[in-house]
Amino acid sequence: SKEGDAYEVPMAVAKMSVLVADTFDADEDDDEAEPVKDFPLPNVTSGVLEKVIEFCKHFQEEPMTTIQTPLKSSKLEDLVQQWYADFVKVPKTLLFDLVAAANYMDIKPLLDLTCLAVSILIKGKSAAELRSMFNLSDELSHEEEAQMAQGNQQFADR
Amino acid sequence: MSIRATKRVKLHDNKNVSDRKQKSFGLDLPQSNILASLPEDLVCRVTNFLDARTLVAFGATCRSFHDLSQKNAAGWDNLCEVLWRSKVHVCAAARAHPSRKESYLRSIRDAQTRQSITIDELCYDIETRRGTIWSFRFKESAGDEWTNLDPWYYGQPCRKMVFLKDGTVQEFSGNTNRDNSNDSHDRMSAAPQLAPPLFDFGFERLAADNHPVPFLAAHGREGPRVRVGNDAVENLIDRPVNMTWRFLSRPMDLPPRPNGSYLRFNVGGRDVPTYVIRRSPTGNWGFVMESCWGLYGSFELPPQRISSAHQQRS
Repeated sequence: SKEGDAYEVPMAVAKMSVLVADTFDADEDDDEAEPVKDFPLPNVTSGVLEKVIEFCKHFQEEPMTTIQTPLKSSKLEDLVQQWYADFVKVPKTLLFDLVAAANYMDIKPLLDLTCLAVSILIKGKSAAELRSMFNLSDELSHEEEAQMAQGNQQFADR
Repeated sequence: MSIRATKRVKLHDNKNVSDRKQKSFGLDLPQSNILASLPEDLVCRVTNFLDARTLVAFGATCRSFHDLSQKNAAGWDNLCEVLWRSKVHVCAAARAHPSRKESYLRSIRDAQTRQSITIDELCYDIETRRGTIWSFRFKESAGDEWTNLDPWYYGQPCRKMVFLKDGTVQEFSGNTNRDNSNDSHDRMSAAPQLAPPLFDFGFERLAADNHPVPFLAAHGREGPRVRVGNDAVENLIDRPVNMTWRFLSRPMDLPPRPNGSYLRFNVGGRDVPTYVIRRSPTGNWGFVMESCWGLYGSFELPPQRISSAHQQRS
């Protein structure tokens, strides 16, 4: 991790990360020589990496159901198993870190799950609510606001 | 075998040492605008799960999200596909728009406002086997003579009619699965059969003492018969009736509306009452057209309700 903490995980778990898998597949020949391989992840902090490993380990035991779109429900529990729904019930900042880590380490199911969780956070929120949620300053002119409000009108009767 | 994730490259040496105690997660993102710090394709992954309303609200939060939310890849591709999947007629001009967001909005606006039909929406093309296959049934007000001959009144699917661009109307039999996709399976299926309708719709009476009614026979059921005197009218059942259609915008008895709002049939040389075209009230973006005697739907019309007066009578 970024802090220098080391985590030892089985190869099958580690290879859920395409980044890790690709690296090790590239130098297959010296697999036998080293019983333990190091893989540096300077961009991922320990707290996030722990969560990522937790996910990958659980995935080996209970693979996550594929997320079907369009979403049938806006409740995580209806879309993935309970364990995965609970897994992403974390503070917002950690969730976004998990998105970034899943992307960096190229772990597709984790990326799907975390992006879904973010989308559920913001679903149904108004622009003002979203702005305060993301700490965004109001960057739009009144003109643009009006234009968008007009666009929103069209969803009123669908 | 196992691997270890260790730090081999330090990026933020000084900061990390102090941060570690506080258990700060992840990248050192600024707390403000946390989502915008993600690369665009990741934000798109998130927005692709959103409904249209939230996606627009999301686009109203800040300039960079506004720009992103206009893009097809932000979710509009999917939203269009899902929205249109269950719709009968999606405005061709809206569909052709390069921006999927515009396509989405325009197609909704079109369905809400346009009550007239285009010739392409009305017609069926024999060559390509594309176009609209209409369901037809008589209204009860047409009277027993007609409803007794209508399979819909026996719990069966409506008769299928198609309008050709040459102005003729033909009865359609064959696979009515809509061929909107380029599904080769559909194309391999038996060619649909088109024929002038075997029933006239208003003036000549049918009799079939010795002939089963063709469409009911085709459904494995012996049809009802209509006796009309003893004259040699029985051959009428086998005689196709020429039927043509034309658009009308200023019928004598109804307010003027744009072309494609009224349709007039000529059956066996005579006009029958004007059909009024409008969008289906069911919200499926289909069209219905009705006169005092008949009802057409550009989609499969729902089956007869059990409680209808006709059923009670019989």
